[in-house]
Amino acid sequence: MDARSYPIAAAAEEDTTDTLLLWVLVWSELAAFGILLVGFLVVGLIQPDAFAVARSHLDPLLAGINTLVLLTSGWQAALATRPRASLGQRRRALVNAALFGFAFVAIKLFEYSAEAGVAGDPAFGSFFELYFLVTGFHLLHVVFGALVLLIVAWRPAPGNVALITTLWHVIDLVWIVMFPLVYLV
Amino acid sequence: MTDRNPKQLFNTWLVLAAIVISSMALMAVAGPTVIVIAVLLGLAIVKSRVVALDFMGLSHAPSALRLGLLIWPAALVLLAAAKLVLSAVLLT
Repeated sequence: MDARSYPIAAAAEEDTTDTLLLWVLVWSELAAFGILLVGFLVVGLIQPDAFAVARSHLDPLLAGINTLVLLTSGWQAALATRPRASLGQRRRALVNAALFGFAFVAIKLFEYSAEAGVAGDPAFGSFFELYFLVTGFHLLHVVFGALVLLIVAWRPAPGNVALITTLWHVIDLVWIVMFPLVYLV
Repeated sequence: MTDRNPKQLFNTWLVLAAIVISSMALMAVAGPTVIVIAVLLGLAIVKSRVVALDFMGLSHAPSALRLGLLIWPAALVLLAAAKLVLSAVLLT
């Protein structure tokens, strides 16, 4: 049976490098996080005192360390996409990227454990509900992304590597912007 | 997909790490003043740009794709800056 009998196979033969859907996915992620972060900013404007008091219970040092961890993971992900990387180098870089991703998760959960004790105080308004929603949504992306990085390390086809590393950098980019907006502004 | 070699990627990571560590030091020394927050918001745009161009390899991508991605951090940082200004106005 030739490729015309299988539309997907035929499409793959025509063009294996088109990244249109990848960028649609990237923009859907950015739109979702953008809406959450704008919501966080707006409620912060409405409840300035509650947000200021609640923010004093956050730990910007741990968040800063996590920024460093995620950027290190992004560096490893970038190493995996080099055209000249050998299969072994590609796999090693993807596994390293995933491990730094899991380190981010461990640090964030440690941070949550300290914040969970004070989060129920009504004096903090809606801060902690939104904080856990926004950062938790991001954390789920990190967990899922790190697992997919491990799967792709097992099957490192160039298309798979390009897709997951692009999304991984977007998760990184979201955290870079989320950090000052949630912890400082 | 990046077009950088391992040494260039390591240098990019060093730059990003230096920005993060200096940001943390600035926060520890000066505290979350308006000027410090404005500087850190500016650095967030710089970091986003470096990640997009060097790690994601968008430096040679079509300008629409590159600008499309870089607008996102810039827009949110501008909104955050507007919130800072509005908060200051509303509190006075």
